[in-house]
Amino acid sequence: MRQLRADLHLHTCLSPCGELEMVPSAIVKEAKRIGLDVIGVCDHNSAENVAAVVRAGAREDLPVIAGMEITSREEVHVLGLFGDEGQVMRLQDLVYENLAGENDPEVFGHQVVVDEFDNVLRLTDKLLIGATSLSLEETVQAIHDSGGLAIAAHIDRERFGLIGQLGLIPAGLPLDAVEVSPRSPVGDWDNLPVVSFSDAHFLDDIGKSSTCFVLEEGTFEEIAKALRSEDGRAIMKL
Amino acid sequence: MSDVIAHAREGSLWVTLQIHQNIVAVASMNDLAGVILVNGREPEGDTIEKAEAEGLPIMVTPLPTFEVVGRLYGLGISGIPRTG
Repeated sequence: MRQLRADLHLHTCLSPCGELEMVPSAIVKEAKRIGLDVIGVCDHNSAENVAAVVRAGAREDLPVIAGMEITSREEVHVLGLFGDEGQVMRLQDLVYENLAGENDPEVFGHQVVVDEFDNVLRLTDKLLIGATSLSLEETVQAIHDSGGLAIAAHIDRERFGLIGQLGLIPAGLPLDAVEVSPRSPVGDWDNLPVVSFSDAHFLDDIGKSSTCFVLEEGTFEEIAKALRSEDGRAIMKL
Repeated sequence: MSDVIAHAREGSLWVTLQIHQNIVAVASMNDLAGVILVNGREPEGDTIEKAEAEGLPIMVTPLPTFEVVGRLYGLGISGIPRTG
């Protein structure tokens, strides 16, 4: 078993609020430089850059978890983490069906789809900054139906956090974990595991907050076990 | 809603566009008099059942928040002064 440091909530240049510098090679290089063992890509309501970062990571032996940060209709951000890109891309179809509007790059920023070598492929015109018409419960259900883990994002933040928007975690909501922005002394919250990731939109923010897991290797399946404290896999308490 | 938990007082009327079932939990925690949902938004899922169990009136209006609050103010109802 090894201790692996993971920052599973990174944005790329696809997120309108993400800097254009957040391209696959640069993200992987920075993550390696600061000693992260696993990263995850969670752009707003889209996964169009996931495969590119996964491949860029593979070139450098850095495991990359596929993900998405979905905005529910209550404007709650929920992270979905997946074992493969196909699952998150299928979920993206559902998210896009439930996401109205067109992006105005002048107002919200550019949404750049790139390949694994950082070449620009296209711009996405979906309004990724917007909220979907999926309720919080439907969002969590959709993530689970796609085989993913559902984590309420930055619950300690007033804007777009579950607690800020809805006051408390709804009884019976089957979350797999909650995320807090800074390193937190909180071990669990409503009996849910607590993780901390950076939510980086800039290269400099990568790894500013991370979670140390005890795992055999940096894979989705291992992280899923750690969240359930199975087979000796665990989240390191700070 | 965390703002409502922090600042609402017992007996307050809550005007909101949130329709999530948590409106009932939050309103009950603070002993609110009732909730007005604006823009014709209908309560979600088992919200009504929960509200009935808690004895919490939920009202729906086709009016937007601006209009509802304006009319209430015109009737002599004022908001809660902010403390801190």
